[in-house]
Amino acid sequence: MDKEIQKIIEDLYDMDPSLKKYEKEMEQLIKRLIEAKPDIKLNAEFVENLKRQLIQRTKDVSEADIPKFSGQFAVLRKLVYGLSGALAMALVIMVLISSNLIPIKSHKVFENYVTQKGDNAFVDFGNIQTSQDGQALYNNSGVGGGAPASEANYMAKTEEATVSAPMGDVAVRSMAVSGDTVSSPGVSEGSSGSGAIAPMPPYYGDPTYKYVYKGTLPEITEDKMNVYKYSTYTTDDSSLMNVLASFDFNLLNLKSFEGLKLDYINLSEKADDGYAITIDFNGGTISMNKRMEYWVLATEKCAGDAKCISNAGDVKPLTLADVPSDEEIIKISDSFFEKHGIKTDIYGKPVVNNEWKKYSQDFIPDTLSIIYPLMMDGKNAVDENGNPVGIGVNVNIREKEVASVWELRAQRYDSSLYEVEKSNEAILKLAENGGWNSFQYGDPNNIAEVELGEPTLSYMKIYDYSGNSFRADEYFVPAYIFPIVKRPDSMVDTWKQNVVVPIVKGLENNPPQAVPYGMMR
Amino acid sequence: MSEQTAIIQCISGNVSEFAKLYEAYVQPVYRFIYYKTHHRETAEDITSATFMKALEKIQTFNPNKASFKTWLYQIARNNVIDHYRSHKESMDIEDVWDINTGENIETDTDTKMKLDSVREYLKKLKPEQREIVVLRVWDGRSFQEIAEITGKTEASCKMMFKRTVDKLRGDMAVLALLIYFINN
Repeated sequence: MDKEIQKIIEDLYDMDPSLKKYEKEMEQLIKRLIEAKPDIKLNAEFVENLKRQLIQRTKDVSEADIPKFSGQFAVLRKLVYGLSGALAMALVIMVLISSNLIPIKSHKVFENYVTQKGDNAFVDFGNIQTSQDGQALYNNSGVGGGAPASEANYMAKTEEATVSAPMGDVAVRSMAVSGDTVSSPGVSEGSSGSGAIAPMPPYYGDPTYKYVYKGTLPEITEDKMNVYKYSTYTTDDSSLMNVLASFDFNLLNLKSFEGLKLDYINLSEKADDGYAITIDFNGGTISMNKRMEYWVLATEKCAGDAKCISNAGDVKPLTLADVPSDEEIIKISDSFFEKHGIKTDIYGKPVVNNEWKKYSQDFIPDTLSIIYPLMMDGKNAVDENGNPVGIGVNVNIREKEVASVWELRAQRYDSSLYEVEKSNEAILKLAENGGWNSFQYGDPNNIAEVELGEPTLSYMKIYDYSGNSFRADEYFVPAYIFPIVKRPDSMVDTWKQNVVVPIVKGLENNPPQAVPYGMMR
Repeated sequence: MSEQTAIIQCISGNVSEFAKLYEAYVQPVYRFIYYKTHHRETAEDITSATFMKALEKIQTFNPNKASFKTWLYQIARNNVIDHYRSHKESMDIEDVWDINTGENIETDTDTKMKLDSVREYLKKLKPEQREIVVLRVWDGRSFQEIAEITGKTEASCKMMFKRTVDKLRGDMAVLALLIYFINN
């Protein structure tokens, strides 16, 4: 019996053994059916013609696939291909480098967009939780938890206590975070456990600062302004997952797991001094670092051995003369971005962070950082301290090369109009106390004046921790950023460069919860 | 370059490798379509449409769900249905068995008569029964592949095939008698 017929018949017997008694008939039947199969001859000309058409079509397919973009950021709107294309291309390059096997076309992985929602579409900013809970802070800081804070009315209580309590006395002051309203007088600092009461520490002579702005505020014409919420990131990773699924990992069957998705990809260049790249599909970010196992700071090579250092000309400590100009540092970064297809069109002019010069000019760091500030609606995007947020770059000034890049991020948001505070009096009152996230621990009877410069209307990034998800919701809200232009000598916290005053209604009365006094110092 | 590598490259965007997949599969796909149309020009048109669509959708192909061949067959099957939906509105879109047969089949007269007689029996089957018989017997597809192509379960494909063959066997006497007269 022909093997083909035999296999078909055996299959039938497996299904119904009683058919065995009709073996002869079955064999004849299957044989006749097979004989009845049309004898098809494929036209060679047709095959060739279709092949030519397909080859032509492959070129069209390769050149097509233009990304869609809708948004409100004036700059973003012009840059459909901007960061998303750059990120996608970076991904392509990375895979090429790492595998040398698969030439990958650009897929639109990280796209930029803004979607306008209805008014007040997100949350009531008077009720969000703008800092982590007490346990989280305790865990993160290593400092005792302390008494829980009241929430929306915290600022009012602090002001009242500050004004009324004499030095050395005990005041109602919430040092820790989250939980119920403080119900008994006292202060806790560094004492673990919620609700713990501890004596208030001395003021160490610190005054209470009064932040004064003597100019006029820029006029806000709109009653409502957009608030931007970072859109929960979802990535179409099907193509990459398909590629992964086609590999036999030998140690396990990847296909046996259901609903696998990509969270992170870590890639590294083969070169010893190459870059390691991390792609966070959930966060929509890419970061890269010069590989640490090969990148040893010159000053560390000798492990403090003075003789080694003196003998090794290239590891001598840097001097101020070795520090390139800001323009040179930025040029190194720009060249790196250009080489790797990282576009900065939606970002403002890069700025070198020279804060280190304030503290020491004896020790020159090997790396200096640059920020490419993100722009939203033509306004600076800043953090809660008024510092710019955007793509960060570390440049190794000894090697004159980029050491790391972070916050290379897909900019995708939902936006919604919210009512804004237009009362100059209310804005200046909040500024006077140090701004939205300021906590005063000084002597209320000793007032020192801090002078503020003209504010800029910016977008301040805040987090809402009140949700149940692992990730806090991230918002950009309009805020005035007042630069500190003159400070008294007694003001030791020189890290504070700005006073920030959010103008979204409700948020001005809902500041982050106080940081323990010990941490402040 | 292996077929699997070509598939991975295509999924990854390097569709220039698609020509290799075309060369490997144009014959079976055309045959599969021809079995369902019995008309050369129609089969060629639908084969063209099938490979064009496969090229455009290759990046959505999921090797976890089906083999590449099965995926192509699914596209071809849908194209056949679409073709008759748009060209033969009054016709049962799955029953294209009545379309012109034999004109481009180069066989001798006796064989043609034998084949036609068997096809007459196939023609009496329900379209879904006939599809499974053709896929299993003419095209040599496994029941798993047939299930993936037709969207049925493997068990239901096996059961339908068994019942269909059983029915044909019941008509065997008539068929045998017919063949006897043809051969003699």
